[in-house]
Amino acid sequence: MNVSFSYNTTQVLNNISIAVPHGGITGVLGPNGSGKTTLLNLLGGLLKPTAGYVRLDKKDLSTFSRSVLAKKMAFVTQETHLAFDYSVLEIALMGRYPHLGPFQIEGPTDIKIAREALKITGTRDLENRPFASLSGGEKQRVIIASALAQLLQTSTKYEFGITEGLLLLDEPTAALDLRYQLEIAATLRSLNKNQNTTIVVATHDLNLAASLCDQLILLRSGHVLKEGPTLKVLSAETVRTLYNVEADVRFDENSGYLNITPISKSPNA
Amino acid sequence: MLRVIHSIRLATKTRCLDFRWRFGLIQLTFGVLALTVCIVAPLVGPVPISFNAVFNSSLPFSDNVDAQIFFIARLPRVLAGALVGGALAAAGVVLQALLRNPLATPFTLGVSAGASLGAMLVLILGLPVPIIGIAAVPVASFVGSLGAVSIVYALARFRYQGLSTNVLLLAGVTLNSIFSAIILFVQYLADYTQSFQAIRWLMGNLDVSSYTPILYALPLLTIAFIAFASLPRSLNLLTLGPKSAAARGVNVLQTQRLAFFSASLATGAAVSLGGPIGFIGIIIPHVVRLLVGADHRIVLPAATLLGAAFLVACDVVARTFMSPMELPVGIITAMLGGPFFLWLLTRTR
Repeated sequence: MNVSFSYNTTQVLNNISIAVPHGGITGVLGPNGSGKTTLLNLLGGLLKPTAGYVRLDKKDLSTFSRSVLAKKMAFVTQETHLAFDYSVLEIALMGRYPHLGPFQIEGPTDIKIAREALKITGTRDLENRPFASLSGGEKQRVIIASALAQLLQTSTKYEFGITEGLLLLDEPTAALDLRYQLEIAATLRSLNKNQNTTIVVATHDLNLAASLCDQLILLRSGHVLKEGPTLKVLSAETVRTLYNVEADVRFDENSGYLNITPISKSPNA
Repeated sequence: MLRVIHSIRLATKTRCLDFRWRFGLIQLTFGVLALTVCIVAPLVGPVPISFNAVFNSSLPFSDNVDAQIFFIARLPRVLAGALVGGALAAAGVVLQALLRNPLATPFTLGVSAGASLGAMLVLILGLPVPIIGIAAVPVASFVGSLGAVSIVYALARFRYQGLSTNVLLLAGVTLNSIFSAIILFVQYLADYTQSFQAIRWLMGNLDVSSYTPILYALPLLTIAFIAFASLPRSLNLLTLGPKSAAARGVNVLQTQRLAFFSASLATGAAVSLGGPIGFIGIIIPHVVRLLVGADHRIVLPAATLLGAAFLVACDVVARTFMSPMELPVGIITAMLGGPFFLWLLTRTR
């Protein structure tokens, strides 16, 4: 499965052409206003490009019906504010709606899949709790579980696995503290490894991107600055170009990832 | 009492997890309640009548006083109450989901202001002649509500591609203000009798004199409820926010439009039948959600049934409270509104 796009949304993004590799974790990095969210929305079919195309599996997104698209791609927003009091399981089950017919009710399989999704994100025991009573990290993990429930399919009689699924996350850890950031990152990594989920994360957290993503797309004012493997793309020069910040980018043996330490603002900002 | 509610809630939400069982049980309970209220209500009144006497088939109808009181004087009122109560409660649920705000009411978006203005104009400019056989006031009030809905929709779409709920809300508030001002002005122009009639209409009253207004409201309400039947799942998803809903396959614009127009249709028909009866559209959705959870597939039918039962019960109180005078039911619902909000306040952390 391959996502590729080339589009021109003149106000925000200008004639970008990128490809998201199948089975990897790709990060979309850039300062505020660079177009990360727009890019993610375009990828997820939530926005239509003013020019150009967005393709999934070599087919244009607009050729897919809404429910088919919802079974292939799931989108996790930065924050979720619920107006009404749903339980955690109900929210996870909402991810199964694209799989149901017009007046069909969730069956035992759907409930099993929803529970499996909750288990994968470590929120299974919160099942009957009202969503509003959860902590920030728990809420985000439940939302990820709900997105996961969209993608999970029965592959064998007893196991659930994604045969092809794309998970898009818009700044998933922006409002979370360090511990939850680590939790979410660990969840995403295990999803990618165990369930073979292709993941695209938009973030402005450099260290998160460095530790999580194996491919990066750097956006600056609607243009792609650089695109490629994290170790090649993320460097002091690119950080300077993107954020006008002098930073120390070095490989940390302890964690096994790049570590970005901001030092100061660039002199000619 | 709270413990009873709590245990009902636990039973319906967690133990009986199977949706079909929960759905059936809940709708059955509320349905039986509504049916009981609707059967008992016509028997209550200043003149005591008995159930057996009403359905005594040995007596011809023209001699059976009990049956006449039941079918001619009281049953239309009860049916109107059930329809209006159910419609307003359901519209309340749908609009709260659309605006993602549990404080929204069917009157938030200007429908009742339009209906009231329509009714006012007829009452005060003095055209109480029946139009094509229907009394003028309900027709004018329904036309008024349609006008208000069109204006609100046009305003909400004026600058935005989609249907932003904030803009919709603001448009509704704008319309309410403008129409209230016009209503005030029109009332000033009225003489005592007209003013009296106008104020009485605005209180909200179920004193339908025959089955005719009910028969005319029925097709409108049927259309609205058919639309309602297709909404609950999408409304659930809409609660997560338009982006999350769209990502799960919902056609957000279409759902919002359908919700807006069907809720407005139900409210317009209800207000043209019984006047602007307040608080049903906010009390019932809240209470139902408290009892059965937030899943709209269960809440919507349950709220309809409870709304019907509730309004008919309020009407019984209205009719017997100061017997033989029959109070407008809007007064009773208004009196319940204050304590309800107070209770809500005490519950909020």
